[in-house]
Amino acid sequence: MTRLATLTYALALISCEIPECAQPAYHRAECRVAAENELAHLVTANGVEVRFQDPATEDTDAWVATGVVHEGAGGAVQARVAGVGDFRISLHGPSSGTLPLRLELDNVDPRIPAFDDQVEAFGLSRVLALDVGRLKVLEGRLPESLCETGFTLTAVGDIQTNPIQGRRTIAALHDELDRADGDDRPLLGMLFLGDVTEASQVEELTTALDIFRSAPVPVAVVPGNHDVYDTDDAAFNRVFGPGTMAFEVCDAHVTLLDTGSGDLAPSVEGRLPELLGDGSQELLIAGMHHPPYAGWTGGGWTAEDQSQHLLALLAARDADLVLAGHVHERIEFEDAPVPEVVVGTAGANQANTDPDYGYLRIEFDPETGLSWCFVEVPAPGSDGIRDGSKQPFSCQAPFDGGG
Amino acid sequence: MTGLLLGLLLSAAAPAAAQERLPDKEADNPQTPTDLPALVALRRTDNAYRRKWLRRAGGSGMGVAAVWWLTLGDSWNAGDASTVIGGVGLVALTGAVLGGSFAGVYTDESPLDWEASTPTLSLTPGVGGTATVGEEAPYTLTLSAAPRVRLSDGTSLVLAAEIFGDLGWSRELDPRPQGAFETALQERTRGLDLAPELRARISPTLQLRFRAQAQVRLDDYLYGDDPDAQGIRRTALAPMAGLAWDVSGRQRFWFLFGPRFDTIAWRAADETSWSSTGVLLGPPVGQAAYEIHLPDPDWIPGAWEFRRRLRVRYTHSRFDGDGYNRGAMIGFFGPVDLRYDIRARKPQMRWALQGALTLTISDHGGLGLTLGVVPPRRERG
Repeated sequence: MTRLATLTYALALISCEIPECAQPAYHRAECRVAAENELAHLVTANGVEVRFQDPATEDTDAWVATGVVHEGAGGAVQARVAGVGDFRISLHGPSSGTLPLRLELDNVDPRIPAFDDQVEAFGLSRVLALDVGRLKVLEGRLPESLCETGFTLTAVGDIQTNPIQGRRTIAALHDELDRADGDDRPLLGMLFLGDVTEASQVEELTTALDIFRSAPVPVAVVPGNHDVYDTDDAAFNRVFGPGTMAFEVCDAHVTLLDTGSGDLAPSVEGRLPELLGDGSQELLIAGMHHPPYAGWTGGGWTAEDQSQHLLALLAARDADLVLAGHVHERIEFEDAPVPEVVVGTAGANQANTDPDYGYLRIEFDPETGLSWCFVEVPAPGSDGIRDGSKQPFSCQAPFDGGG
Repeated sequence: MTGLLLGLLLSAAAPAAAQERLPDKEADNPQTPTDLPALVALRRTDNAYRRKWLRRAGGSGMGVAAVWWLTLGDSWNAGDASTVIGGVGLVALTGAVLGGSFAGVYTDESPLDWEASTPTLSLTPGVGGTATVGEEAPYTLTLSAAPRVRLSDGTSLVLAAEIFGDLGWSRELDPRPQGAFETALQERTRGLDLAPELRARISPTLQLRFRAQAQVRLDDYLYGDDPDAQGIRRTALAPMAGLAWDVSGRQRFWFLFGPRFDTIAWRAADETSWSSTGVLLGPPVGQAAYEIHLPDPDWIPGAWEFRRRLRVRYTHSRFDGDGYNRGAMIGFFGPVDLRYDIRARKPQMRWALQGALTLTISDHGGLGLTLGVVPPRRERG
């Protein structure tokens, strides 16, 4: 017995050390941190380096995972902005002279003013024909006057096997945009709370990307447990960019966390104070796939030490709203330590019931503060749930099916 | 739990059913030498039938859980309870199959005069170190006590308690390629777990069990290069109830299940008092195990006497941050552990010695070694 124990401990102690994520293991949150940061910059074929940056700073020395860059066919560089609202990209060319660059931007708010070198704009896309010298910085900023009378955000998660319903949900945002403009609380974007796929397949991810491109406002996406269990390919990050990000839009600091593996990357846990903001914004809204407080649902984290750590920090900062998906229904936890709403209702299986599809509307009014309600997007042939007792409560005007 | 409870209730009638000689491979082939008394043969048949019923109960439990998942959807607020049923059913099924295999080797299943149950006092060191350059994981130490107090004939109280902690700080690096792989997080955990358990025998083979588990964990975090630690205090209270069933004189199946109530408190380095949430409803907790007690291995020479125990256990809790995940099935299951205990006693020694190897099957699982002692006359079941 003693020999066996000694042998066991000796084997445990003798191991080779390798740098973190030097071997692909993208089902681990930490390796997705490495991947999403690597994918946030690119040296193109003609030698221009494209770097996503933090729009709140003027730094260009390194880069920040606020988007994802690819080189497409024909030399066009495609850059998807990950968050909602402002963004910044630095372009690094030769020390003398210039190099041409065709840059196709995706997920850009249409209200961001046109760039000098812009040659095309359609929906959430912009195409720029640039001559890049030593350094060129592109700054996309929402008009400062946009949020003077408040703003609207939307949130939902969980498409999984039902991209058709997911498409209906995104289509409903066009009506939402008109309604929000009419109420002088402009719609800024959608926070998508994970599980855009069922099986982490690239085809599913690109299908979802196409759906999100049809939205009238940017869509910020975090991964769910169905999106990131492929060990060898950081497919989610290649398609959507970072799963963990923080951005400021109007009066809100929005923190989105990659909890797709039921946990946080330890390095992200170490950056929580930074990611949750310094409190200078009026609102703190956090979004993720797995609800940090899950009650009895069975939809919780595997790393409860991390979810409770996060809940403590959110409570200490008086977070205004925590958003999650994963559970395929709407739930508002009255006993959570911070206001928490689950809306995994973008189309994923709700078993043998008339499904309760829809998204969460979050409105901020400078006079009355933050409020939210559920916008029903019933499946074709369904009248919707109309259950007055379900929380979050339904908004007054249900979606009419896309007109 | 429905399938399991149904199975267990049915199993209470198993000894009688045994005499009806329902078809069962193990029961129909007891391989009893013809020169053994008929009573021994019948007892073996009873044991086989109990295992058969437990297999059925376990299978039913897993079936109920699977149907629950498939019809209600794994993420449809179906309730964590479905996965408890699945986990407990898995242990029942696995244990009964293992138990049948061991009964084929150790044909005498009459109770042992003493057993290798949980040691009264034990120490479990945990190996530190990581396979990642620049990162650190501390060694850990757990001191456990499980003295048993006999309250009356058939009723006892096990005063289980643990003190555990990291023997240093863990260090996690920031893997962002544009950085310098600097320290992102350092963490240190220690805690106390109290789990008094009342055991009351309600039939020759059934025992009611009540456990009031309270665990407090103190987690300190150092963020980046900030020298000031953030403290988080996590408390969980889980009143659980369950059953233990003596499947045979040497094999036992038990499970416990109950709600969990949490509070989370936090304190920055410059604060003396804790801020806290109220009482939160946590996910339900459960534990199930199948224990197989084995006699002295004849092949070990010398004056020492040995007893052994093989245990497969499922713990439905992720409170300590560990669980079992595969593919998209993330955040539902807790860890499974396989433990092999061996208790040694020399006739003239007052105390018995015990060692155990535990293989934990989970995301952060591995092998563990426990060393313990047992005072005189404390070994029985």
